[in-house]
Amino acid sequence: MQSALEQNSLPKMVTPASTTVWSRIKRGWAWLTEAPATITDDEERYRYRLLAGVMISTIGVAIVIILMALSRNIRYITNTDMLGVMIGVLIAIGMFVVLRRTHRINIVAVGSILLALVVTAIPPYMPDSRNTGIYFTLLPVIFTGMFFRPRHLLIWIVALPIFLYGIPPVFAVFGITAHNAETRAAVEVIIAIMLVMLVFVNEVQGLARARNQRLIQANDALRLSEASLEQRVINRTKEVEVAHRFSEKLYRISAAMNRTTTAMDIIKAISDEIESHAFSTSLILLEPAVTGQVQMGRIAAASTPSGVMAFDVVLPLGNVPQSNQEMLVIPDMRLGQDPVLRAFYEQMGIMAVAVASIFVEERVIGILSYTATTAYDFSEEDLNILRVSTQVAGAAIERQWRYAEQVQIAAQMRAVDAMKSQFLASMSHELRTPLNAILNFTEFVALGMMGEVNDRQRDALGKATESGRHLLSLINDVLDITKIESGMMQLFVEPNIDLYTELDAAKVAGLTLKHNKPIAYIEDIEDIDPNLPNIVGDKRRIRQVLLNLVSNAVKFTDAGTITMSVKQRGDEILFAVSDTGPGIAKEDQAQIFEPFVQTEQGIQHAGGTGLGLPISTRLVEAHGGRLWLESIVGEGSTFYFTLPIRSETLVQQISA
Amino acid sequence: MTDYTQCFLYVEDDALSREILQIIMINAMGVHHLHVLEDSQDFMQKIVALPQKPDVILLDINVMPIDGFTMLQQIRADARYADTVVIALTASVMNEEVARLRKGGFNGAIAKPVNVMSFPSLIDRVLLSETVWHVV
Repeated sequence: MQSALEQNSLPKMVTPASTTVWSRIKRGWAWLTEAPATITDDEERYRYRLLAGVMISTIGVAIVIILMALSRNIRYITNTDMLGVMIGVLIAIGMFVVLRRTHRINIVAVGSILLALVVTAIPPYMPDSRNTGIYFTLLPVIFTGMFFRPRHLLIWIVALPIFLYGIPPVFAVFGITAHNAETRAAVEVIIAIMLVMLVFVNEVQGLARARNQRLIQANDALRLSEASLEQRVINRTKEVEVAHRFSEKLYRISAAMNRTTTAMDIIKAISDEIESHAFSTSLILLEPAVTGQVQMGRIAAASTPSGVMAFDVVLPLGNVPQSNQEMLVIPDMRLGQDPVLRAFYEQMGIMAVAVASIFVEERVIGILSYTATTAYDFSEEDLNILRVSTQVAGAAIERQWRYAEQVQIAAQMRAVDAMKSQFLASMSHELRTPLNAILNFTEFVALGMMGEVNDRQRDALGKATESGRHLLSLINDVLDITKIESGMMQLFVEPNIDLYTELDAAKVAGLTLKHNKPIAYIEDIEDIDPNLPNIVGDKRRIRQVLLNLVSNAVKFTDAGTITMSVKQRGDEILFAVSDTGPGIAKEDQAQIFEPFVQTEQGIQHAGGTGLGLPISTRLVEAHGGRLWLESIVGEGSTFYFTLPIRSETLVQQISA
Repeated sequence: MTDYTQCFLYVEDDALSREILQIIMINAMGVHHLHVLEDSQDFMQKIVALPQKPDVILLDINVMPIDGFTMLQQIRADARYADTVVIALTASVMNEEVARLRKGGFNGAIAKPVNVMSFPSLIDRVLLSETVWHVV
């Protein structure tokens, strides 16, 4: 990990400290000439640098000249010239010091010009001068001129003639004349060239300045447009904020209305979002029958804490807005157009009003209004809130109505269900109780508990008992199918049902039913898994299904074999009850699963309601399994059904 | 016919049902001590007033003025009858009712109509402390 990181990271770039002579010189030069941080203007910094640079180079050149003169290598430098050079060096050093100390570029520039002029103009009058100092001392002038401002140039223009032409007559008074006319002429020529150069330089500078000025202007314009852009952004942001705030208000209003159930709450939701305290919000719900004029006051509520107020006044409905887009806004009631409306509001002391109608199914069911006791100019935003609020209120009220309807319908349905359930329970009880007596007393007699019974009587009593039992099973079936059809079948789910117990019960019932029929009853050892797991389900209902299938098989098979097989197949148990009966024709196969339908054979064999299979099918399905049939006419039928071993749906229903 | 020495109490407001059970238990089974209550008025006082403490109480569920569930609660609330076997005897064997019976704390339930052929063996099983749910 560590090494991977190191490999990935770039080698550190190390710049060795520059140690070459040249870089040292550059750093030293920069240290000497760099403008102080207090000068921020780029142009001024440039001037400072130039001025300082000129001073330094002047000093440097002068020192070289002085050293050369001292070494007598340059024979033509006279003592006077030497003096000029030295004066020039002192001036340059002085100027440099002043520049470094005061940072006053202009003064240093002008000072250096003037002093250079002095040094230039005087030597021709000095004895023994070859004017070498002049050439030297001109250098700073030439360069300083480059950063002249126009007014410096003016000084130069005024001062130059004075020096050139003023000094000779003054010197002449003292009897001194230029001893070297050629030098003077040369100086004059050089000075003239300088003038041209200066003008040129000044123009160049002017050009640069003009360009700079334009740049500054452009920059200012840019800054201005940036500012205006910023202003526009600010404005737009403000608009967006207003819109956002508005939609937030509406959101809060509609959210509040979704929760609310009363007119008072609706009012409160709206008033909470209105910032003005100059007016109040009220909601008036109209009587359902809206014709021309309506009584208002079925429910009327005001936003005041006093709550719901009942009005016994007539609202002139003709003036109420008749569409979602319209609003009635009267900022000053005295200017109201409609005298009826005016009278209506004035009697309540209302001087300004904004009204929007609430629609449910395109019918005006009420109004939402702002009312103020003084003339008031409702803001655009407040009116928008009013307009949209009516729509939200309409939806909220409609939803409340629908909800109330639903609640009522649901209550009715529940009442009907409860009645049905109660009826079924009573039926079950009321039908069984007398049957209980019939069956028992018949049996008491048949068993001889009530005295001697002869064979004919016993036979008759046996038939009565049998019919009674049949009637009991019919009642059970009818009750079951009714419960299933009305969705009231509930399983009594238990977690651990031992299937062997239920299979035994079914087998016993089958044997009882078979009477004297020559049927071999086979519990297929091969096919009954000896390791069936316990399953989750309703024991009683599972037994009912098994009994139904076994008794059907016994009932429809006159001779032959009935086989029962059960095996585990994945996460379910597969049951199969086969017989060697007459079989069921393809066209009848669907029918036998329909309640109250019996095939011709079914009717022939009688002794059933035709409800057994439909009931069994639903019971199996309620367990999450399915029941189906395979049959060949003349060979027999096999009824299959599956039950999940552990249905999650049933696990959640475990009752005990 | 076995002789039953245990004391039985049967609460049933339907005269025919009472008669049937009496015939089955006394005539067919040979029960010696069977007390019958025709309604559930002052139920507990009547139990206490019995000459013998009942071993098995058979309760009809739809009895006036207090139903089988309430009677069971009253029995269970009395420490003296904490170990008394209480069996529901009812014709209301809709699923929801069976579920109620099981949750209610009965020791078992037998569906009406009772049958002279099967009832004695059910009682025998009850007396062997088996929980009997004969509600099919």
